[in-house]
Amino acid sequence: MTGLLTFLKGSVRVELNCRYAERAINLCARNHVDFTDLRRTPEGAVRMTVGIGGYAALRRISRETGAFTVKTVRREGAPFLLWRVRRRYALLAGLALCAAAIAASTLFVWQIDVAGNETVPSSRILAALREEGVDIGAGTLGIPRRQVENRMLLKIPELSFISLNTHGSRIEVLVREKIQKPELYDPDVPTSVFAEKAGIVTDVLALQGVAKVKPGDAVTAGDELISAFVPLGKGRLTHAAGSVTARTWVELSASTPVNFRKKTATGEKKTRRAIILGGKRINFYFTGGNPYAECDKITVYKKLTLPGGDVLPVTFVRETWEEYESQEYAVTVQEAERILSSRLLWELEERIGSGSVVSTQFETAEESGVITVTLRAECLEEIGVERPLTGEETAALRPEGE
Amino acid sequence: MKKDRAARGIQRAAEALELPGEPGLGVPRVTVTGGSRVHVENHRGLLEYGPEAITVNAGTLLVKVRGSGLEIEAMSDMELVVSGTVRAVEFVS
Repeated sequence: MTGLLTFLKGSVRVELNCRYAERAINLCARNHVDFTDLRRTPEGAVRMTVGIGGYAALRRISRETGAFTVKTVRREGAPFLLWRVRRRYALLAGLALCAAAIAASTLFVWQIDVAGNETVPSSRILAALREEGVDIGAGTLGIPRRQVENRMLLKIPELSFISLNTHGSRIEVLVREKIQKPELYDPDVPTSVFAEKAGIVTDVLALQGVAKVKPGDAVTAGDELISAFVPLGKGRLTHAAGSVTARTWVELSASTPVNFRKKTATGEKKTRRAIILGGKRINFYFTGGNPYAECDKITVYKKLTLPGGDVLPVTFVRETWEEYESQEYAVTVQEAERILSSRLLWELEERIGSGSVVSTQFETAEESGVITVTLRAECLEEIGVERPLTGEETAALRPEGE
Repeated sequence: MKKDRAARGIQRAAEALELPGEPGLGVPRVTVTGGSRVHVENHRGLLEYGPEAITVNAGTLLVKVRGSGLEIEAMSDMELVVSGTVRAVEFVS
């Protein structure tokens, strides 16, 4: 960035011939001539790089004090370049046109970044923005920000906040999602705890309601474990709560074919380049299609961005085609068993959540070119889930006279 | 003389109030980075400029940078940056 600014402002490398280098340097500093890259020459002179304003000041100091003479070594930067081409009108017109095109392009939206969303997908936010007229290619000046923000909040009720920030041709959409209201415990809703899956009960802890099972009982999915009905006096209905742990049995299986094709890279690759201007793609190659019989295609899109973050409607595309050979590969039973077992164990842990695995048993079978591994596991897990009672269930349990 | 006394008075007041002295009083600030760069702020000019030693007039004292291949990387009327292999930074009052 600094280098670009120096180039735009222009710089001059000068040589100061003087008797005392210190005096020349102090004169520069005292007259606000900022310089960089000070070097001594073998002849005793000093060389430094100054800006265009500093160069004029050096000339003036040299003339007024006679303390040193100024020799120009090199001129660099945009002002000198423009001066050199000042009579090449077509080139200057082209440069002016290019600068005007860049300036005009920053008046349009070329990139929209969405940040802050966790559950609402960016595609949904972008689609809603598109309906509001905020899309790639739209003018940045005519966007009614406040209106769009308010309408977006109505369109996507999951959002609690949205802010559209324009940075040149890039729009940054910052969103915050609503925090969902937690499920409230309602003591007046008659609720029982039911079994989520079958198992043998090992532990029952009834915090509210009456336990209907005891350790050692076998239950099936849907059985009532802790009842909402409390038989005290005439009896009353409550919101049952508690935990019921049970030994459960899980059976999972996974399969893989014995023979499949395995990819091996040959090292051969071809690169094709293209450029996308606005929405139009210009290819820098003539032959399309796959260059190899078997290959992977890797595409990299790179947007042209100005220093400062302004995005231009220019995207460079690089497609790399990497050749591979696929060979028939036969997996051994041991190999398949190892891969599938670890996958099944991972699936089991995902399924039982906070529960624990007591024992596992694997069984492998091969049939018509397919290896199947079956996992039978004994687990210890929480099986009770709260469910409000239906109208009929409540009527059946409701004490007489209520 | 009067100016020196006033400056000393202000400096003493700044010390008592635990304020940094450099903004108002022109007290030099020297920053050494990794033995290859010395940044001097609030200087009053160069007294000696050579590849083995650079002496900077810092008002109340002199800052002498010793080393080899010393160069002035950048300089303005307020600050300067010395680069090269720095072996010592001396304060001569």
